[in-house]
Amino acid sequence: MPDLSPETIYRVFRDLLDEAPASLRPEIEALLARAEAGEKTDNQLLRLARRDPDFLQRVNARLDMVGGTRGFNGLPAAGSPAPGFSGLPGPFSSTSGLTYVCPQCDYTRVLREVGEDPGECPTHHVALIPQAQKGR
Amino acid sequence: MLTNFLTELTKDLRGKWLERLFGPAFLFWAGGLLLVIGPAGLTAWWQYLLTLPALAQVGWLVAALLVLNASAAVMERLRLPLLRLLEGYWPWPLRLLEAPLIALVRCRVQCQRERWSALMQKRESQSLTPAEQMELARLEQSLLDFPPNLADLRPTAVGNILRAMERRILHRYGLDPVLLWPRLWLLLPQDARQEIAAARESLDRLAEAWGWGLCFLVWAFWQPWAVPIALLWMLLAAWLARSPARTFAVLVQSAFDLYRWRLYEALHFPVPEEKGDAERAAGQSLTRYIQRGAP
Repeated sequence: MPDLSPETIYRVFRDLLDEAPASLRPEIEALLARAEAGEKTDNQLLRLARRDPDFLQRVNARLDMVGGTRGFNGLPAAGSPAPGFSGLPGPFSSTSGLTYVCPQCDYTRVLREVGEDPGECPTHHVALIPQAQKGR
Repeated sequence: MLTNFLTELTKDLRGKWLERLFGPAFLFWAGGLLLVIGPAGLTAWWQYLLTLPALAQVGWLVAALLVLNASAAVMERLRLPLLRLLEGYWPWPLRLLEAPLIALVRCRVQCQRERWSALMQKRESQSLTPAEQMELARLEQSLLDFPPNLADLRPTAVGNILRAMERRILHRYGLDPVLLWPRLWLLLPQDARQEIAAARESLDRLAEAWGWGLCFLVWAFWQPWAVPIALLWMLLAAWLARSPARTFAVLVQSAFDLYRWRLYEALHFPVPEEKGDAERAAGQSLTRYIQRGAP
């Protein structure tokens, strides 16, 4: 069930203000300003949105999302139409790593990512260098 | 008027009350009382309660609910410091445990990295067996939980997962996520913010549950059995917190991957056109501007 409390409606209209049709925007801004002053303008905002079917659809979609987001532990509430993010269960693939070599021998170490310390060659005790630099 | 007032007052109340009635706060109080008074004492107290006039019974019930709710509300306020404790940012004397715990983690990560490197080198020259492919995928996933530079390791799993995300963003883009997160947050689309907020809420709740386990140690003054129960509780909460920590970390990193350009645009900095060192230098300049007020 979407949350149709006035605060939610004001929030949704504020969020969608940039996406509102230019013809409706001044009226929405005025109604939101009146709402901030304490007046109840949620029904007027919804009536206004009906003038543009596309915008009304976006408002409805956002209200649905707001109404059905978080339950206990950040999981979707029962019956929620909008479950949150969860990762895919499959294993990662491994793209090629960053290859570092000893400048004096063939010792090689592959690093997973930028920021890892390549360390030094266990034989010559010199810092490993990127493979591309060795041929220079 | 009164209807509106009551509607506002009870909005979301059912969910909150249920959470507090059967959440970790309830476990803390009920478990503690059970340990201190004992089952026999609790039954005797219950019998005594039933002999009281109805008004007094209601009074006791209201007082119990108030204590439960007030303590749960206090704990909610302490979520951030609790999360920091769960991350391994400990005060003295617990800080003394940091070095040996980090040394254990470092040893494990170094072994995993060596093995990952060996498998990657083998893959260059010949194909891996199915078992080795699975091992490589397992190592790839496992090593994601640790910061690239071993000097940044934390003593706890949650600490390493979050630290890995923070340091990855710094190493790749030169942006300090801890400093820049409030700015990027304001520039994120609403949908992205909702996803990240939900993941953070989930992590915060487990940090809170871990905090209740820590508080359970208080009952040890009356009943030594409270110590193993509290330790088990904390271990379970810390173990469970790894999954939402990973989700939160991957979403924050994704937010920087996808929307970091907005920071440059919003702050009227030139958007870096090249990746790598050039972008890192631009990111460091932007970070310095936010921290020091000078690019």
